[in-house]
Amino acid sequence: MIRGLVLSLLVLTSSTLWAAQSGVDWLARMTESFDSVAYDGVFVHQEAGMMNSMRIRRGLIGGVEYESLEDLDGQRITVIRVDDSVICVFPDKEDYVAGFLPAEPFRRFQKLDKDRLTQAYDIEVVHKSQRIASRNAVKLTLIPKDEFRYGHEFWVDKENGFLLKHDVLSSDNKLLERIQFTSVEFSPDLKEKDFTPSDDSYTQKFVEIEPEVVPRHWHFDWLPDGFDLVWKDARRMNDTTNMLLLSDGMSTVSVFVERTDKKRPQTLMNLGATIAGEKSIKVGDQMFLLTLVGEVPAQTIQRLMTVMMPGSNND
Amino acid sequence: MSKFYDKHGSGNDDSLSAFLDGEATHADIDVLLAKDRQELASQVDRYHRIHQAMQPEQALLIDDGGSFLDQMHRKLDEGKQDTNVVAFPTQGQALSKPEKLEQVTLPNMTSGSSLSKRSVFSGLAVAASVAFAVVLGGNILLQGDNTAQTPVFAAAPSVQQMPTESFNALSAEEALQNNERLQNYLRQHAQQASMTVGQGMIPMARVVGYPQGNTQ
Repeated sequence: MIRGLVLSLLVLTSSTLWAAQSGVDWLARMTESFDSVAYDGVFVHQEAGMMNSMRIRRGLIGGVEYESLEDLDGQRITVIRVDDSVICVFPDKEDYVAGFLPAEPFRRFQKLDKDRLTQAYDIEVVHKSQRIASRNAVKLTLIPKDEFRYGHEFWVDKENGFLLKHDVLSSDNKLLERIQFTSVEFSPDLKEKDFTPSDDSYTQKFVEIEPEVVPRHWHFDWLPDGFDLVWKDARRMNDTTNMLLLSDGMSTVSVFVERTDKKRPQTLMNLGATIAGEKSIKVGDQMFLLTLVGEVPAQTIQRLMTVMMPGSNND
Repeated sequence: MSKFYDKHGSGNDDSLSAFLDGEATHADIDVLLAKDRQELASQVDRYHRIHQAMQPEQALLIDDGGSFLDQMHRKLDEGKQDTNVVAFPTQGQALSKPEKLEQVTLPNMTSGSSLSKRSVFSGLAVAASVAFAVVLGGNILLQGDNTAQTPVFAAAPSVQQMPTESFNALSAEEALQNNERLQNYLRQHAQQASMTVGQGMIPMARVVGYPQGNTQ
């Protein structure tokens, strides 16, 4: 009888703990799961009326961390990460794209910035049973506190916090982008050969080069609440272009500053949830083309283009 | 109409997705007719499963993968195969041929000319078509032309006041350079997002899934 009582108490404690976890806690678990859980899954990515399926795998083999992302529908490009090395695999040499290789290894994922997130979003747990890819899930909603960012809905695995589904929603609740796993296996029996490109494919190994840190020279007279510069300085992308990065902990806006000799009209472009804006600005005798890219509403990009100025405040 | 782009990849996948979207050309139909019936049925089945997972409330695109070829023949008879074709310079051609770009027909932007048998499906052509959608999408957004085919969401009224750039005003070379530059920036952005938002490599799906053009 005592054993039964203890068991009931344990079950009760466990379910109470689960219920007591806040949305932020679940998001933190989700972030950690990408660094701690081994998985092999297939998900579909839907954006801008386009859809394709991808396979993602991660495992620790012989103390070495392996991860891969494989395009199943299209050109069958695969990105493989082995610890700090990144290999891009193209089916044929003709498909190789210069400049495709990542600028930095993926393992440098940043920790969830809880304070910044709660400044920008109301984060809630939906207390209703959910099921995605045959897994029990917890649904989280991130409701933006202003019109300068999108809403998000996450479904995370109740057992290990793994992301199973993610919707990005506009202010009028239209679906802009969706990631949804259709199947996922945890603790799969992955081998080194699962991350080895076939002999007939064309591979490019990425040799890590730290992007050069350069003075920023630009600042924003205004930023939406919760948004801040991720780097205090800029990163040099090539001879003519530097990059700045803004984030509110959930959405990111990349800012590319390119020296140019030709003025271009101000333009906004969209691809699903992703908005890109361009604007020319002249500083002294030098013309610059500013290109902002981010998963934020068009008006955010437009306003950021308006308030971006020469000078290095925002410190 | 269901929009079911398989936006890149082998000509077979392109042809199937174009057919499912009601946008197949003669070339697409030829490719599909030449395919193995079994293989085609399994491909259609795979599309269905993904489609149903994503949009369970919508009807199936095609009721029965096995009768796909029959349906295709019917479509051929109906003569619906010549709409919405995008033609771009092939990889071997010089880029400075603006007359090629003027032949572009995209959703709700009819040029009046049918480009059957002239669509180009080289890697560069496909890459350019999607990059072009980025540019055109921007123009649609700015002009407030909400089409069903290009998902454009609520834009602030002030956005529509911004000066716009007509893609047709750019030379072919400028347009392609612009697309390459944008694609490169999209890739850089996705990589940084991967390291910032705590979702592992998943944000990279945006660029691994994009068709790739030659950059840099």
